[in-house]
Amino acid sequence: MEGDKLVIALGNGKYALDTKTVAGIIELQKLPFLPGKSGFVAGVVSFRNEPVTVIDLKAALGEAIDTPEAGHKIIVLGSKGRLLGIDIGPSQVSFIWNEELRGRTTDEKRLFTSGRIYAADGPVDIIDWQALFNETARLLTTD
Amino acid sequence: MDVSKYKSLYLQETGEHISGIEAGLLAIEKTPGDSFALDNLFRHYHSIKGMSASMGYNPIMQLAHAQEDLLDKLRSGKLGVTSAMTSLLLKCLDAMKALVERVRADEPLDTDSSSLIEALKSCASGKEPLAPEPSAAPSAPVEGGHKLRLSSVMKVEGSVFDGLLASVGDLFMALSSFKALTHGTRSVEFKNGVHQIGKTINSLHESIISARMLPLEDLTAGLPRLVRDLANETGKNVALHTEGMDISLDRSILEGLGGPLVHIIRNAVDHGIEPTAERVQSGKPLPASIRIKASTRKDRVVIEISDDGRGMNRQKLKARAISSGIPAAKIEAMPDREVLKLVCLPGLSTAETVTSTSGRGVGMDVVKDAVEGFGGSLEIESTEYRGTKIILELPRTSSITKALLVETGGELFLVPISRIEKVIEVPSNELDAGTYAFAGAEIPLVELAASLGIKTGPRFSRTLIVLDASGTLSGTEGKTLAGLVVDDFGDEIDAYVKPLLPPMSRLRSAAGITVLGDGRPVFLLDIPQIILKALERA
Repeated sequence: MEGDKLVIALGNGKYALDTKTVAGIIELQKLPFLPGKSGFVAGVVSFRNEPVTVIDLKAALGEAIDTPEAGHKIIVLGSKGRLLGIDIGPSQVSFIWNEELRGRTTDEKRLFTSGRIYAADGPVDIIDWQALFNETARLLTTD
Repeated sequence: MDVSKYKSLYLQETGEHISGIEAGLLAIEKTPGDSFALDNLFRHYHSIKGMSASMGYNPIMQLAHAQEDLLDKLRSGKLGVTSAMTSLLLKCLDAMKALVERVRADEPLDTDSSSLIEALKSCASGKEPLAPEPSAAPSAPVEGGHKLRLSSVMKVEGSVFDGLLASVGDLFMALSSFKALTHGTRSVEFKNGVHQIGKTINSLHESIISARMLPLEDLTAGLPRLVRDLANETGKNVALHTEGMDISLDRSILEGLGGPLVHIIRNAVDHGIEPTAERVQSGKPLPASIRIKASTRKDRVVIEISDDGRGMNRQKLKARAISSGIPAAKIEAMPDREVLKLVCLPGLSTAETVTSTSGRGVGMDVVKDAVEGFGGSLEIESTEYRGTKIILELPRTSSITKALLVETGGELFLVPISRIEKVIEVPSNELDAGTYAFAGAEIPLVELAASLGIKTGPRFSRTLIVLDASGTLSGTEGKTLAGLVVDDFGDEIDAYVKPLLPPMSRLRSAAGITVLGDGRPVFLLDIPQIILKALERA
């Protein structure tokens, strides 16, 4: 759970991603269609000429879905050849630096999260993006 | 057999062995008892002898054979290496080089090496070598042996071509961006420049593709041995016949086809072909036959692997599928071709016996996945007591695909040109019936938007893409057509199609994905899957 975190304010909650896994951020008005998409899978984008599957983070984490928002802010995550785009809509992002984490993390897990940070302004759940990736693969298996 | 196509390979391999012999002879001259060098020398001569015999280059074969005999005596310790002996062997090597040069130049191998062979024989019998008569030396300049020459054939790691192809793919994508810019400029120079770059990239791509193409026979050369061993193991009498093995495929596709092909043949020998006694009793011919037939269909290859065995038992297949948890009603509603393809479900096999290699229901699912992974398709035909035919249809090359951009509901897709018969603008109301009269037949129509779950608005006219759906629709022989209905169509492009990687590697409606010049990712439609699914739903 060590390392700098990128924090996303999403609905009523806050979620963190390890900054080491963030490959880039893309902003788009319209997400290209992905045939066979279901569940929280939202579409596909290209990032440095590589296609990246995009999921709707709000839908994946069960945060309340309000009216459709204009525009998509997609955080592209990458590690060991795996790429996944996380659409956070118009949500704002901030950071928690590694030195601020000391003594504030627990391994409390929820759906698609791997731990929790008790930050000064409230709890922040750490996103388990590999679990999201695996569930996305399952959702896109159209046999 | 026409061996001329193997000449360059022969020259390359022989060149390497000659270099090895030269180094080896110098080594044993320095250290006469160097058994490692003697073993290596023997292997080099033996290889040249074998290759020359296969190619019909008898003078080279005979000379190599005489040298090999002498080396055998040296290797076994019956004779000791002398300086005169190595001189004779070096002289013979020069003669062999001269002969190989004649092969390279397509000149007849009519030089007389008999005095060299006699000298070698005499030496092998324990006599001190005599210098061969000068007249008996090959007419070609023996001193050609002192020329330093590089082979015109280069050995290159396959991964180098993979890298080159990937780079060309990137060039295609960059070109696509430039092409998009030409629409917004009036500069003729810029447009001409982009056109020239496009021509050069195309030519580069063609060169790389042709360097990567290998004939099917490279893959199937090992199959007669496999069939022989399997037949011996099972006590069956089986013969393998092949046809069309000179058709070439991209190395990566050919490589990936090896496992599936072996598995299909193992299944055929283990479970398809009856034991000899059973065949005799039912009046079937011996030996049983496994046939691999390859043919081309546009830019694709169709490989049929058929046997004349007992065929697949549909009732047994259905029963196994039901016991594996598939609802009986669903099985009963399946068209015949889908029933046969149940054998491709993981863990499902109708084999009564499990052998070391097949019958566990592991394999046909892997075969199907491998074939579909290349953008190919797998079909099965089977008649009880008459045999089974597995039909694989595969692209011959990978990566760059000529494709038509189509649009439906505001979304873009690519349709491979190899599947397209015709593109027609049609008033929407003429497509309402679900079929369309084309070339004297009513062809079934597939609405792409409905098939993929895309919303579309009403339009006065639509675009109908008439597709070659051969191998997709059941019970049909030869060319079968189907129509894909979309809103509009755009340019024909050379798309650098990437395979679908996780998490979308198991999408069934798309065969790959490309990124357009403006950065938009666009899926290449898997036409057989889309047509099949849509017609099954209908």
